[in-house]
Amino acid sequence: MSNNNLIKGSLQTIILKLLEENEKMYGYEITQRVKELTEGEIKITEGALYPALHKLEAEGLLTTEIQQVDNRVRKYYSLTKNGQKEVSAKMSELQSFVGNLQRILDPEWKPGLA
Amino acid sequence: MRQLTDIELQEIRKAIMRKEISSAEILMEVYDHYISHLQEFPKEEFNEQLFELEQKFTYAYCHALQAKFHKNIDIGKAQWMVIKKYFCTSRILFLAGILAVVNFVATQARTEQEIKFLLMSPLALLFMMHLALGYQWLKRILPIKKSFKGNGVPIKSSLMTPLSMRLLWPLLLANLIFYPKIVLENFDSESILPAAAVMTTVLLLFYAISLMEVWKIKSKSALV
Repeated sequence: MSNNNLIKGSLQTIILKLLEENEKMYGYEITQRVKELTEGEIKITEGALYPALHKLEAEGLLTTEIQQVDNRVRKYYSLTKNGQKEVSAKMSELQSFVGNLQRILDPEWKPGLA
Repeated sequence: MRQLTDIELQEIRKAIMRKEISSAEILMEVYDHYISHLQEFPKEEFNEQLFELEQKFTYAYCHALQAKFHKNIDIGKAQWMVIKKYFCTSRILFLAGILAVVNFVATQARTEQEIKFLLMSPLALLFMMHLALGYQWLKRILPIKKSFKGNGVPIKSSLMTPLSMRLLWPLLLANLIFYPKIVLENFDSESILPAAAVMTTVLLLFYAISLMEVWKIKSKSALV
């Protein structure tokens, strides 16, 4: 599945979740990690990633740190305290949405059933 | 992952320079993305991969990203957050200490000139901070400017202007201190000067300290 419209609404949650598991990450690393975890099924486009990262930073959910890597500057993103709190809220919101979607797609489906 | 050659790095820089990005933060983020991506591919695929990146990081996309980034910069909000956090017991005591010292100095001052000198101290601090900001900014931005020599627009940190403006505008108060009669007609400075001096000095000191904290925080995430 590579439908960007489906990913768009969950992008912030994906970013927050990845940063919860990894202390700090840079933009390209996030795209690669998603690709790796989904075996290439989901590709986060750069067009959506950086505006989302900057928005989360402006909202105070992410903090950034610049580091010198080789002969260039790399910007690392990590969760703020507010961001850490927001991860669980966003996760339950997404899980509930996926559950409801599942019910629409398959009315016989019950949570916990494979 | 492989090391890119100097020629390849030059190619990347040329491609990025065509986008005329002025924000050093955006420029470095895009540059890092290009290098991180291209390092993953063999030399033979360099041109093809660079072309693909160019399709994603278009001129319009980079400028929209830069505009949104600028829009999100709010030094005032950051300063207010610092001030709110600042009000812990130890810092209230610190502030009370400053207030007491300033009050003592103001009451000891015998001439108007001495009071003006007291008022000038936080302004001098702000001016020094502005000089230090300029120095630090130059130190961090010069290597980038050197790498991207020939960029269509001047490269500067997105935070430099808003931070610099915040540091400079209180300096306008110097006019009010030295030429009060020009600004306020029939101004009798003698009667209110000591009290006004204490109040203004403390407020300005508080402003300068909070701005210094903001700069300290922002310097970790931006090139200032």
